[in-house]
Amino acid sequence: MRGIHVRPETLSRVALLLVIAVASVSTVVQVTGQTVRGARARGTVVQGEHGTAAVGPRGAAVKGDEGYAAVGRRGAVVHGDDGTAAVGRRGAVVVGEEGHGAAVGRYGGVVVGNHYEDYEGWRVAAGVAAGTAIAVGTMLSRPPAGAATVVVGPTSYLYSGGSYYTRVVTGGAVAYQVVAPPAGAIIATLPAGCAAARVGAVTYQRCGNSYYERVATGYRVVVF
Amino acid sequence: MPSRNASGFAVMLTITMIVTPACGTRDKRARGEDLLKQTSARIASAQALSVTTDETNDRVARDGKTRQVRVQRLVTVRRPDRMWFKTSGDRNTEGFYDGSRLTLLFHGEKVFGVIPTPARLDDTIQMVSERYDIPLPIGDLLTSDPQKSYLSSQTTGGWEGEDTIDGKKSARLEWHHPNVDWTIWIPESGEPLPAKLWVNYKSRDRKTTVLFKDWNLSPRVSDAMFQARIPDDYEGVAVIQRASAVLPPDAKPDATPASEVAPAPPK
Repeated sequence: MRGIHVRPETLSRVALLLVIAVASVSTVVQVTGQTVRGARARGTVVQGEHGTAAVGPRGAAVKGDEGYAAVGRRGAVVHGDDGTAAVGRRGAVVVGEEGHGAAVGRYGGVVVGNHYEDYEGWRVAAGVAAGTAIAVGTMLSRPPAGAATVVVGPTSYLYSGGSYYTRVVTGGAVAYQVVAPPAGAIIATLPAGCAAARVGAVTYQRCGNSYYERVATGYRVVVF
Repeated sequence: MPSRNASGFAVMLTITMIVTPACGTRDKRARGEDLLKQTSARIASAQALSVTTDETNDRVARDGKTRQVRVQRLVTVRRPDRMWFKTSGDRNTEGFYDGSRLTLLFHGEKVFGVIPTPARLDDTIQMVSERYDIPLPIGDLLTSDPQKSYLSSQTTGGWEGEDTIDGKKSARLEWHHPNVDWTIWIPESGEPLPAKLWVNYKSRDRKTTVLFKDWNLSPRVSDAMFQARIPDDYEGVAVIQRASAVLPPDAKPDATPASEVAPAPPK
């Protein structure tokens, strides 16, 4: 399949749109991943034209065309043979290209990525400098060194270098997949390159395309 | 008459020389199929079975380097719809199949994933491999008809010789398929249960070697054995499907430029 190049910074913007777009959807057709313990009850899911798609409030969930609801809560994608693919809200398909980050559907589809051994493997393949934020959807076999655990409700994430990782099962092993900053996550210090941004009457810290508000224990992710 | 005998002998010799290679190939094929049939029938005759395996998996990663994963696996099956396995070594995992779902536990990471499955083990083994790309190299041996699972109309090969595996003289059967090459060693005496398996998944850059031990075709099993036992502190995570498994046949990539979906700034 033909892939799509998307720059990491664009992905973050897209991820934000995804959250915004999905949050506006109120029709619950079918919820996947019900057997996953602690799944969020408010997971909004939309079935696609082909009966194959679903998108949740904190990422994406996908339901197979044969009814195998395999992908659960948070940032879920389907992993392809030579890259990745997923099915968007309206049945649209988005496909990542070998060695590159992700793509997104027009109607708020899902962000997907490829699988690398570790951050360094991704960085070399992507041809970017150390410290560059990794594309949402990318999966790593090993978590970044020194990543901190961030707990949001029943879900734990790893945080490193401005990126958040959730754990998924792929190919019979656990992988670490980059997801959009989860609302409510609190980090002690902001990543580099943040700037104050006023939204309404409130001043936030904008880091790339993520927004943080100051709280007593650090900075909390805000998703509009 | 001697002349007729001589000419007849010459004709027979010529025919023999012409057809011998083909007969040899057919003989090897027949001999291989016969041995595999015995193995298949023996395994299929068991209502339940358990076996321990040492598995070495070599996979070529995206960076071109080969990554090796070694596990020891204990697997128990009860036909037609139950399976449990546990691995140790490089992967500390456990799987419970109860006829409606497969629950995978990853003890090292303290996470679990759940896959809704078909009602029969045969279908589940196929689905887990094709849809989720979860390797179970001995899966075909666990089905109700291993020979059918292993041999297709595109499969060639057969008996190719003898090797000693774990101290037992074993027949070496080599088989070839457009997507996979595999070799199985079956002891020439005693139970015809596989001693070793080697698989080359050509389309996935993955090779697996399996050594079998402790075959048990009458293990003691109970329903509870196949019911998932998830520790309270384990977290549920998504299980990723292969794209080819979920894309509609008529699906076309959505190539909408990302710029068209740039988020509106919050107000």
